[in-house]
Amino acid sequence: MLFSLSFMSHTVADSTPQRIVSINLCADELLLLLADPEQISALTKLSHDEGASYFRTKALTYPTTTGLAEEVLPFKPDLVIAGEWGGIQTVNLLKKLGLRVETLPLANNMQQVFSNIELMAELTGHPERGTRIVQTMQDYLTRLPAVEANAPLAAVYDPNGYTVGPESLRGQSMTLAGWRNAGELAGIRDYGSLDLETMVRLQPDALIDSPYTLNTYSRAEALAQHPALRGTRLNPQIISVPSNMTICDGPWIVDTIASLQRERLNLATQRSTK
Amino acid sequence: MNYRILLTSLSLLVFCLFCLSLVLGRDPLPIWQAANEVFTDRSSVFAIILTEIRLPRALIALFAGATLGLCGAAMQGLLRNPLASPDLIGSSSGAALAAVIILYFGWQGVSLQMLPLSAMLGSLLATALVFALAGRDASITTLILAGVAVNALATSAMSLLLNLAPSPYAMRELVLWTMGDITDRSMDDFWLMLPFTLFGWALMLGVGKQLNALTLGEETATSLGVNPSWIRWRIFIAIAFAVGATVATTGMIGFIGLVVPHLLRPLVNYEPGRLLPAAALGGAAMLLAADIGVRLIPTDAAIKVGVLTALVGAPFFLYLILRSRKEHL
Amino acid sequence: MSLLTATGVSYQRKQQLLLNNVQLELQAGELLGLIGPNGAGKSTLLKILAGLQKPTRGSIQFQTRALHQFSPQERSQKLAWLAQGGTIHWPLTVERLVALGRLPHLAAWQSATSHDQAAIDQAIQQTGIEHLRQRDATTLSGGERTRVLLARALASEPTVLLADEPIAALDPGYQLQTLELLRTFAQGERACIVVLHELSLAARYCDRLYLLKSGCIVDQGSIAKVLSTENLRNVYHIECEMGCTSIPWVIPSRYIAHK
Repeated sequence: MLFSLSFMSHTVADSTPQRIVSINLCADELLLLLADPEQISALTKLSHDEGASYFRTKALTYPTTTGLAEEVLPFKPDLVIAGEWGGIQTVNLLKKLGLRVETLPLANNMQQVFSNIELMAELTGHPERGTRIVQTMQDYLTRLPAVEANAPLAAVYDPNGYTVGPESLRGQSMTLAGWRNAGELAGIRDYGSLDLETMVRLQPDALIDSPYTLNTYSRAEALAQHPALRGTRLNPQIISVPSNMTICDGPWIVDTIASLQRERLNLATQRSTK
Repeated sequence: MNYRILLTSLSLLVFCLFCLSLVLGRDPLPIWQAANEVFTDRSSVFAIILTEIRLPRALIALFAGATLGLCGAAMQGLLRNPLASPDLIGSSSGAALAAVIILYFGWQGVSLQMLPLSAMLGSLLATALVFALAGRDASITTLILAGVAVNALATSAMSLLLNLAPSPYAMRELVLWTMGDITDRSMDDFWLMLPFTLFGWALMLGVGKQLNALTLGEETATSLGVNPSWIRWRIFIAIAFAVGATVATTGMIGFIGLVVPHLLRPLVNYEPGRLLPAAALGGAAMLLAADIGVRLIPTDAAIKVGVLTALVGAPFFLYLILRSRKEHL
Repeated sequence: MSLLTATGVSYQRKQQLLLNNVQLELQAGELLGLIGPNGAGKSTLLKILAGLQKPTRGSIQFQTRALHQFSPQERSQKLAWLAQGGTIHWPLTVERLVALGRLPHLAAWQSATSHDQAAIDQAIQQTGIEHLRQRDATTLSGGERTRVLLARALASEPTVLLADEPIAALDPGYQLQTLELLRTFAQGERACIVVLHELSLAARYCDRLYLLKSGCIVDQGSIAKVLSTENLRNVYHIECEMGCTSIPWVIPSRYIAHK
């Protein structure tokens, strides 16, 4: 690990990329965070999307592609950044055409968020920015209080009952914010779905949803209206996290944790006043 | 002669669509400049887009479309059933399953050829399984049942993998792969697909007359010197190779193998043998056209070409069924 | 000279013995009638003679060679088989359907020569389907279809024609026309075996008859010998009025119940 990192920093120092094209939304966000503005040539179309892009306003100044090789080439990129999933054919083709293509892995825990930030900082030739950001995030996280034994229970509840377990980033951020994860109690390791029955049995205090477009159909709100839950003691609070904070990982995960923590404290106050 | 006019005009259509496919894209390509640069400055962006991105895409559309049309016509002629399609003997689903397995376990990184080669192997294995299930002298019904069983097996195994997908992103990748897509393939992909495709086509050479004879039923065809079980295996192996190579490169592209032969059959006076070259050209034209359509439809996420062929093909097929029902009333 | 010979042919499917030790000989220039009740094994015998099925025991010889030594193409050039009823799966035109009869004479890449076209034209003319040439073959009446399929068989210019009930769907006029045609065909080097149920017509057109019952040849030989009162009673369980005025006639008069 150490060896590969030092090796990489060596090559990066030789040639700091000047025309970076990203074909992955999460790479867009980290580029906007870490690269000099003039280093970026193009981003993905999604980076201009309100529901998906955390740095949307910054992104608006750059041209976009839908991620096809023939759109990427005219930018004559000296570095293309792709995601771990999606566009395998495109990545293969760009590599064959002799372009430098780097892949940003999917982060499933806080450690991987740090390493992704550090990786991107290395790639853009600004390792010190990465170190600084990671240091700030770590400082914040170490100040968080330990999870209490009788912590309230929450479940991530996305469309189709999609939920997360402890081996996912969203699961970890819940725990760090002092919630117990209902997905974990339901035996979900990383990603899975939570059926209504399990939900009624576990009686979570809160449902965390992340509606892609605000003020539209929310699965969690719909669930609260379900006859199985109406009139029962189960009356979960609904916590909405903006989707542009959950789709990709980055330093804003700290803000997500903070807001989840705030909601937890609110809940505790409400309960004590009752 | 009518048949020659048909083949000539289909060839012209394919040629025009092929050229259009090189010119049209999400962003227009200055074609003269690009063509010029191919000879003067091969490293220019336009030259690379033309020769390394659009050319393989158009070539793959051409060969994959022709394979689907040809194999559809052969399968319908063999089974004497206009609803037969090359998917029936498991070659498509076998290839798709193999590809999904590779993606699921993340082995696609091992080598660039890993995905297409495994998909082709999957196609051959699925077809071999159909052969083994049906037995050497199987009747058409047994074969179709064996095909349906193997297809069901492959599809359910695929669903299982989707079900177990490690993340929503992985699942999306697996699903997208089964949709049929020819964007961003390289010449390497084309060269890999070509020999298997040509081998499959070569096996189809000269089966036309025998398919014609099968019009009179298997026994009369036998009395005319045709060996029905030999012709059956020959077409099956041809499909396993050609369709296998196609699915390995493009994913599953539906309806071309079904609709194109159906559409062209009246124009060749229903002769199964003459339908083969016509359907090959028609299939190529349809896939090239669909691939051009995909680029011109202004959507945020690019529509997969397999989705478009199914979207256009299914209602069209419905219309054909309704029309033939009216004729039989 | 003997064109086609079956020696000790038996055919067994599952536990059932469909043919039992059949001996048959077809001479050149002969129109041979194969008669017998339904299920006697006539069609099976015809398929075995045509080389479409292998006999369980016994052998078929064409001229001086065993039939199984022939390549499929050689065999199909010598022997034409006309299926009972006959199916047509695609709506080809009549002319293209008749042209399928030339398949045994064409290599995979060879296209039809003027001789092929002449054979097709002659077959079409002989069977009187000139006016149907461009018709869709699946829309024909039963009689028209029978004649088109017969034309297909004739177009392959076989030495031996094996016809399974070729006149079953035809009106009396076409029945006579078809049998005249087979009669004309079975001359010189050529010969024909025809499966028939019309005993009067069998008596009138065939040179010899084979009478088949439950897979065995019950009798064979001249018309007078085979169509005996005793044979008809034994095989078909019928009494017949028979005679020969200007032409021979056999009219079943009474069914005798099985004992």
